Amino acid sequence: MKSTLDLILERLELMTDDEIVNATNYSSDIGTSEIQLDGYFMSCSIRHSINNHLEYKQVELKHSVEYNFEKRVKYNEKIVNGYKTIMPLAA
Amino acid sequence: MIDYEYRITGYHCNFRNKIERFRSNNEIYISIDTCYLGNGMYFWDNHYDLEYWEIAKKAEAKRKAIEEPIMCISARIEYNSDEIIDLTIKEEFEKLIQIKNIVNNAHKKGNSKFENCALGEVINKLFKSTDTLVSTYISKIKVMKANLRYENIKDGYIMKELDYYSSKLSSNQNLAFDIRTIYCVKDGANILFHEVLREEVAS
Repeated sequence: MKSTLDLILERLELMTDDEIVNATNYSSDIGTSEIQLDGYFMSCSIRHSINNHLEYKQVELKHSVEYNFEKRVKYNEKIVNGYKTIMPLAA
Repeated sequence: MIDYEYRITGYHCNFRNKIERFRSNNEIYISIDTCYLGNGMYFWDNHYDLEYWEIAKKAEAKRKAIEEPIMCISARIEYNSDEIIDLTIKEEFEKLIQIKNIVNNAHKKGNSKFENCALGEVINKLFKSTDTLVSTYISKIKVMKANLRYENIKDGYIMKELDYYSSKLSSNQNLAFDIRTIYCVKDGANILFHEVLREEVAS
């Protein structure tokens, strides 16, 4: 019985290098940032890929936790379904 | 109700605010990882190992002046044999390394800045793959499992005991306690919060 890794290996072996690069250009190299906003705390994951496509993730607003922040990120924000959504402007 | 082939208890330690939603709604907290088994919620397979994690979290709390309580919890993780990539199995690990080499070589030829990615980053690339077939295959995976060897867990007294009792075994076997099993639970896994084992504010 073929495992998931067998199937992926078979698939990759049929793909060209360019196809593999295009299909696997995700990167999580920025990691997790913690941002304080107006006395609230939120944690968000900001990622970007090789073509500078920026992803963002909905995060729940947390109340008044005092943190020191090591990283600052520029962002836009909006409320979606009760969650504060952060859209990074720059990686 | 699905009758899963495997049901384990996993142990996790983190700041309370990061796992509150898991506690209340079973929504897992996804850590961003590029070195181990990729993004996911990580668990040990026994509660003794939580102490190691707790120490690390306390150090982080002190370093970042975090006052959030540190919580140790347990959870029930259920999965079928086709929903896990078990890297404690040599053959599976070899296949993942083959995949890692193919992906890294492709990026290297394309002068991508992501050449020579660590294992966790390659796993993340598979989970985020835009190729329909790769995405279909990998989306079945809910749990990843691996063994870690800790070089710093070598107490002198007990090592002598291990050596003694190992000498009674077959010549190619040894008793060992410096190996730890970790689970990385992915989005969509069947996992249930079980209980809070302890909670304290880092001093």
